[in-house]
Amino acid sequence: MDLIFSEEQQMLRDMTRRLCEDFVPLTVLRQLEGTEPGYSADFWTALIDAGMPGLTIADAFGGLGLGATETMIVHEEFGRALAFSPHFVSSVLAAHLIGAAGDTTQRQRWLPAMASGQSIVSVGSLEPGGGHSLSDIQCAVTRTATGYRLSGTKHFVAYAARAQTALILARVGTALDDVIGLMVDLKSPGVTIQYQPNHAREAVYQVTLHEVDVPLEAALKGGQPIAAEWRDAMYTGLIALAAQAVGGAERAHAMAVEYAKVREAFGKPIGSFQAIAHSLADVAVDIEGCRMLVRQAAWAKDRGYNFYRFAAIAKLQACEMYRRTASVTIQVHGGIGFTNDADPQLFFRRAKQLQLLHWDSDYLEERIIEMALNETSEHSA
Amino acid sequence: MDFDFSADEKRFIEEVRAFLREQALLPDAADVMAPNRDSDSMLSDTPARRRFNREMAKRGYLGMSWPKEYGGSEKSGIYEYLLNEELARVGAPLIGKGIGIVGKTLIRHGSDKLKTEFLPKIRNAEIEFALGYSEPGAGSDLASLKLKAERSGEGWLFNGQKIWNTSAHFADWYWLAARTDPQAAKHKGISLFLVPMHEKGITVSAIHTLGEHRTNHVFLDNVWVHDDYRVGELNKGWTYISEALDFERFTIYPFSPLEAKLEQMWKHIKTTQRNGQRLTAVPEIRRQMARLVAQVETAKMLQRSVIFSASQGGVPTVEASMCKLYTTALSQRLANTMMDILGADGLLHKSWPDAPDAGKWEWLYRSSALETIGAGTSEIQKNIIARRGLGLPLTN
Ligand SMILES: Cc1cc2nc3c(=O)[nH]c(=O)nc-3n(C[C@H](O)[C@H](O)[C@H](O)COP(=O)(O)OP(=O)(O)OC[C@H]3O[C@@H](n4cnc5c(N)ncnc54)[C@H](O)[C@@H]3O)c2cc1C
Repeated sequence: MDLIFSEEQQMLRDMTRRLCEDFVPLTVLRQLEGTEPGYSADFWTALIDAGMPGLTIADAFGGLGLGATETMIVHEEFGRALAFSPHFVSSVLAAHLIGAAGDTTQRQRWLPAMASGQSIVSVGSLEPGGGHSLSDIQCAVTRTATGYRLSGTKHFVAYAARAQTALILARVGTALDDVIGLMVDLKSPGVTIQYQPNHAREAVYQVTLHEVDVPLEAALKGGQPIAAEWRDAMYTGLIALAAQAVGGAERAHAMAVEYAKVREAFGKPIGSFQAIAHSLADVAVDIEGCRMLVRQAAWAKDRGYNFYRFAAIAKLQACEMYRRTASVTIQVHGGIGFTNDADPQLFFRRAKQLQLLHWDSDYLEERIIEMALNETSEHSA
Repeated sequence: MDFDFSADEKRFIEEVRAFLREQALLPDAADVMAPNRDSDSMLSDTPARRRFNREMAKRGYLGMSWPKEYGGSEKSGIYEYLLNEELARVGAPLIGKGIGIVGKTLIRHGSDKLKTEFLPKIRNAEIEFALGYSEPGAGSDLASLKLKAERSGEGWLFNGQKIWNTSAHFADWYWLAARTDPQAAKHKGISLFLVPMHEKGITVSAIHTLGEHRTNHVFLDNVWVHDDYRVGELNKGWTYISEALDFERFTIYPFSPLEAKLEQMWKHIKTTQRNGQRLTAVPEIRRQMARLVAQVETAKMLQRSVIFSASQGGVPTVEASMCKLYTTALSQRLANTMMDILGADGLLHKSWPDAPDAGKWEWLYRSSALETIGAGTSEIQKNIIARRGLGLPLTN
């Protein structure tokens, strides 16, 4: 066993942390929250200069070709900074799907532009009233003479006002997996996008598709279902999301620990009361466990092992841990913790959003129990 | 043994409900009754709210437990409790600081001048108060408050700051705790005063919260008030503050909002399908709901225990701490469970037109974070239970 990061990996962490500190300190984040496009252009430019949008895109397409461990490192730092950017949706999720389900032309068309940060590609999977299962994808698509016609509503589509294109999951048949992926130009006739005010005040949009015509070449995998690629992309993405939770929780916890040392009540630091000390110790245990779970998941993925189970467990545990950590952070701060001016609320809102927005606990628990019951057959829902 | 309310108490509940049904039909009702926003109506000043409170006064609902000589009806405190339950159920402003803390303290300890000046106005809902207790350095450890009151001519000169003074931005009068003897032990050098909120030298600045409510930071710079506005005896402030907390045990923990939230959860669960299955048929949701039903019933029992003891003339300090500790944590669990049930949709803010239940749960998830902090944190409640209830030798 060797749990030490390589020198390059450590440098990647340091660089990411510095970029976050320089471009998106919490003072800047506060100005970005609830606004459009919802991320700092300077930060995104700095990420582009560092090659970050192409982090996991193969070097043949102009990316850095790095793995899950590096993605985890970068996203742990993003999480620590609460940094908003299209990196997850475009460079992790969409890039993975296009890489796995795109043909050569599609990969040539999209990946280099995404790697260079020229193009941001969003992903539309969730629908109003629906959960995370593919069965809840109701967006309807029909074949036309020249391509496809798409109708339906997606919501929580990240950065849709800035992304030129969104990869839309749409249903072509009644079987669970009859879901295809279409690269939809968000400027097409019939597309309307609307900012959705939300818990974390992240730039997410409702995208309404009304008889939108999409050319043939916009369908990934030649219009064949991409359910398997979608799952693989999500499991891969879970590692980055769980890493964000770990980074955010570490920062919130550090704030609470620091506050417990300096805030006094009854003539002593509140950290001298066991009620406070023990609750911070409990959180430390949770964080340590999750940090290791996420690393294990990244390692397994990079080794080419079956990592789905590890990734699901990491996301489930890390998001619940983050949520509890953020609550404890508010509680330890007392009244100040409940104000908008203090920082704990930023973490509190991000934690719940991270838990519910992508493969929530309900869905993950189902995946975990299925995998535990049947280690050999991968997935059925 | 009888868990039921008496016939007269039940009649009173029906009377209040009828009154509230009537009020709900008025054009300004939405400003007064906001069941989706717990206490919104109480934390901001609207013409509707003032009108509503005057209407309550006309019905004789303000000061029910006060002695007759001060215009009260000498009813048991249980009626005020029952009234607050019904008000809380529809999200209307509760009877609170004026009738309870200020009024009852003045009745017991105030000079004739203060009684004459304030009691009628309180009873007629013509006056709003802000409580000036907490300070930046004195929250859980309230007795260490520092705001200075120094003798100056026939009155007192105040210097210092207060924080978390909810409603200070619209209140008329300030119920202020100040240090009058810096030499004495911390509990023994505090006095209470009534100060006009608009007095020269008072600056009120807004603090905005995660619950989208406003509370305030208040600065006092050479604020002068005549000695007539000192409440009760000099340096007895801590005793009065603690005593007033005891009056409040009757009224501050309405249980009906929890019950109403549970009802609203049921409504969603009964009318929603997931993967072609009704939510009422999903085993995990059934179990979660069963747990909440049982826990809400437990909260109700903890609260009945407080009310019963108080109605017998007891001072249920430990029971009240138990009730607050359990209920506030339950309220957070309930909000979290509902967020989980709603999934991503639950993240939509109330300003999104299709947010489930008008964004109630997303808001509640945020706003309920205060419950385990305000009015004595959960840690402080546990200390009270351990020290006063169990006699444990706590060292802090
Ligand atoms: C929105 C809001 C509205 C409010 N309204 C009013 C109002 O109108 N008027 C008013 O006067 N006050 C008001 N308060 C103040 C409220 O009562 C205090 O915030 C509360 O008592 C906690 O005090 P604090 O914020 O100073 O936290 P602290 O006392 O600093 O507590 C910080 C942490 O230390 C813990 N702690 C402290 N002492 C101990 C101990 N001995 N053992 C174990 N743990 C301990 C606490 O539990 C908490 O977790 C309000 C507060 C808020 C946030």
